[in-house]
Amino acid sequence: MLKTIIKDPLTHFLAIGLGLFLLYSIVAPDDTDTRIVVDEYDINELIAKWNLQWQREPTEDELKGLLDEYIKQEIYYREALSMNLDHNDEIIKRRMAQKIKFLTQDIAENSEPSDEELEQYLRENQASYMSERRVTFSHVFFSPDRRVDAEQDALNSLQSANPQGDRSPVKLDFIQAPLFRIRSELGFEFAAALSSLEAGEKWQGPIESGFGFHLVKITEVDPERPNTLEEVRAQVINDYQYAMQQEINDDLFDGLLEKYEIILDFENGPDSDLLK
Amino acid sequence: MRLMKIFNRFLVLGGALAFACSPQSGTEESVEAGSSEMADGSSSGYPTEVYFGDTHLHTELSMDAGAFGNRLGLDEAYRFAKGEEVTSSTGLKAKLARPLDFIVVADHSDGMGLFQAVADGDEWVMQYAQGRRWNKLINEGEGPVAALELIKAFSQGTMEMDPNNPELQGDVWNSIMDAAEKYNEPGKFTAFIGYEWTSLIKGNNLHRVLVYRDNKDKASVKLSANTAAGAQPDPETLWDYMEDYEAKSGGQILAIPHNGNLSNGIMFDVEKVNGEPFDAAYVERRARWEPLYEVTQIKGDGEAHPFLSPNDEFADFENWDYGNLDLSAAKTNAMLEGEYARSALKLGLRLKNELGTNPYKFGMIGSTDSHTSLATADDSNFFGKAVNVEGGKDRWEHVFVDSDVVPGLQILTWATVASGYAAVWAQENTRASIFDAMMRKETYATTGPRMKVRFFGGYDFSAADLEGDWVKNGYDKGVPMGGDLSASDKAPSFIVQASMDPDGGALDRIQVVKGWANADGSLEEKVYDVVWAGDRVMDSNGKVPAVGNTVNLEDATWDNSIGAVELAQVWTDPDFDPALEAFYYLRVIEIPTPRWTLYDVVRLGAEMPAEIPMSAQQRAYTSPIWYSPN
Repeated sequence: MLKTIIKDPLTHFLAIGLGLFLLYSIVAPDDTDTRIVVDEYDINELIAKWNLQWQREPTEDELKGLLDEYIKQEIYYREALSMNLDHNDEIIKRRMAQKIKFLTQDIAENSEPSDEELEQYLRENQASYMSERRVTFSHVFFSPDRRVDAEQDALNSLQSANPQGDRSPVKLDFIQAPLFRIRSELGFEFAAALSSLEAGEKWQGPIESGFGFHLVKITEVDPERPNTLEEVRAQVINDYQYAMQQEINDDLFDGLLEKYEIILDFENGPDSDLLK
Repeated sequence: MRLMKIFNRFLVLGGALAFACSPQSGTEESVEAGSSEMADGSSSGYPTEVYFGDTHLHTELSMDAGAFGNRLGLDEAYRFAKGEEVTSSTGLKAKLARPLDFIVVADHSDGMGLFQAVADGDEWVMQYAQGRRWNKLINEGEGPVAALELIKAFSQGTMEMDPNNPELQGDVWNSIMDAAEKYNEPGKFTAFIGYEWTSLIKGNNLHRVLVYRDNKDKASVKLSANTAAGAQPDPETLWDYMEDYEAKSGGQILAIPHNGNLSNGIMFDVEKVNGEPFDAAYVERRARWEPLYEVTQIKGDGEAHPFLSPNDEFADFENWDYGNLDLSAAKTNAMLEGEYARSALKLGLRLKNELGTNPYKFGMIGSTDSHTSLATADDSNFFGKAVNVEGGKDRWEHVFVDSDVVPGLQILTWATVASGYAAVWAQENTRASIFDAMMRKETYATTGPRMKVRFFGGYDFSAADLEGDWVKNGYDKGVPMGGDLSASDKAPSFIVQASMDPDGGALDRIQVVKGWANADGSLEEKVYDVVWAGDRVMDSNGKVPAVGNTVNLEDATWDNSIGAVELAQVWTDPDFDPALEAFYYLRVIEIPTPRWTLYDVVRLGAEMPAEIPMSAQQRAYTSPIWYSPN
């Protein structure tokens, strides 16, 4: 039960909001509307920013300037708030909305998934976590550069125990090569054709590649199989957190959306083709 | 203000108490025994695999990319490079047909995160008239206009705000390192930590991409280097930074310049940016910190230029010779020598004779410089330079850059190039192994296709060395691309070999490009056709006739039968002079295949004027092998 509550982003979000509110009232009791307290924290922050930008400590004058600027900004800020100047300001709206998004990011990145959660995620997305088919094979190459009918020549050599082909643009022996490697060495066509063949004593083919025609002798096939969590843990954690973040954003918004009634009122607006 | 501060405090506190933080794994930089790479038989010491990657990709974190509408971040950039499907910023589903082996996400360190600050209207940005203007433009859907203004203001040093707000920058740099750690998978996929140092002097491009060999524990020792507001756009300050980084961290870092074609002659100058003459320290440092040059990318191909190489019929390839980066100054012929890789390699030989070290002794790679978070260099699936030209049948005529200064000077999008990739011969797919290969320049550039190219130089090669385990012969009896040949009275010979991309165009020919410095200081070059497809006969000028063009303009197909699957030859320099500094590199040329513009015509119904090219001969450039009499 508790777990469910913690996992629910809206609850999480409201709890953080409450925490912030409480914290604010504890930490900042001195700041009334007309009193501005500047403490060591503020000063240190001003100095730290200066340091980052100029790679040195500010002089006394410079610090005084920073402080003056800080106080001026604070006063203007409060006056602006009391005059409701923040209302209907597009930039302020955007900025505030962005802060909410930061909050959800933080929730996603800091949640440590349990093994059970990862196992479940793995099972639900098993198609993305398959060990690649690996094939151990040799091939003989028949080059269209050197033959009138390379395919026919390959076919004619099929029964030979030791077929003789041409100089190959790629190596002749592949040991437990994953499909993505075979694809990058010999191209899509070849990799697809090779995938449909099984291991055997005899030469098989000919199969075509972007280069020409090949006879292949497959000695071993490790078929595609589901990965276990231990084999792909790092990848699953990455993907899980990525998915979590998307989900939290969506869930939080859906939860918040429920509180609101949205009325699309286009009756009196300017004519736009898009609205029709 | 106050609320925000407490808010931050709360998050730190809450984060520490309520959630156990999970530091990302991935600090171990080793390949487990029995992994695919080892099982493939790379135990013989020399590299048997070539890895293809992009060392130059921008995400939304780059201020210009964000302004052009890029909304894809680090996660999407890595996922796409690894072969997963992502949705582009304009809502198109995108997936790389063949995943990349490695990538450097190289966001601009200058203005890192600035675009978001402008878009969000952060108060420190809104103090400035420029900030308010750009914010307004973005809110009105005119992001690209804001982007161009921002780039121009940055190029001209007329930005009112400090683009490098350190608070912002620290956070962004941290997230960049974290993402690289997260997606780095030794043995299968390498994610380098890196960024782009965006130096411009009056609009003249001196950009460099920085690549770390290291994990975050070392890379985080220093914040990324900047060029604006207090920092310097002088590359010497970058080398100071790199030196300091290595001393402080015990790590390693390298810099890759690019787009000499937009530097108006100063990328490969013969004097320092402050006008002082080169000295021994300068040339040594340039050679030390900048082992590679990004010779081809979306903003033009920079291997050679027809003005500099009038006898080279392949030099006129996707050149950008309009002006500098923001077109604030037009190009003149006098600038070209300081812009192109081949002329720079030649200048380097003369500088070596004068100063003892060749500052322009670089290897070659290509990369995209894509600003869409999508590292793709395929003509058949071109996502453009930036999000505003990701697709659409009229994108070809979109104005890419418009000069404020020179009336009528502009670059249209059709001139952008679906190029290129970096190919690296390395022992295994790890940060360490690929970085070390980059340092020894065992690399080549391609304009997109993944052809495999080998190049060895030595004094004992014969035709027989092409038989059997010829790669081993190459390493046993010679040096690979990027290497050095010591003094000899005997002419060097070379194993020259390339095989086509099995999913691309067949090969037209392989050429050796030689450059040398005469005793009187004059520089020369010669291009040799060494081996070619079919039974074409070399003419009396030593040139092999054109291979022809099978590209079908109706359906964007072509016929590989006019080209070759593989070309290989042992070639000996017929004009060798043992007393002269020289370099040799390969240019591998494919038969013509459809250019991205043709795919736009066929698939989207774009209508373009006749002068816009519809096919192109894709190519690869290897790092040189240098000969020195000393």
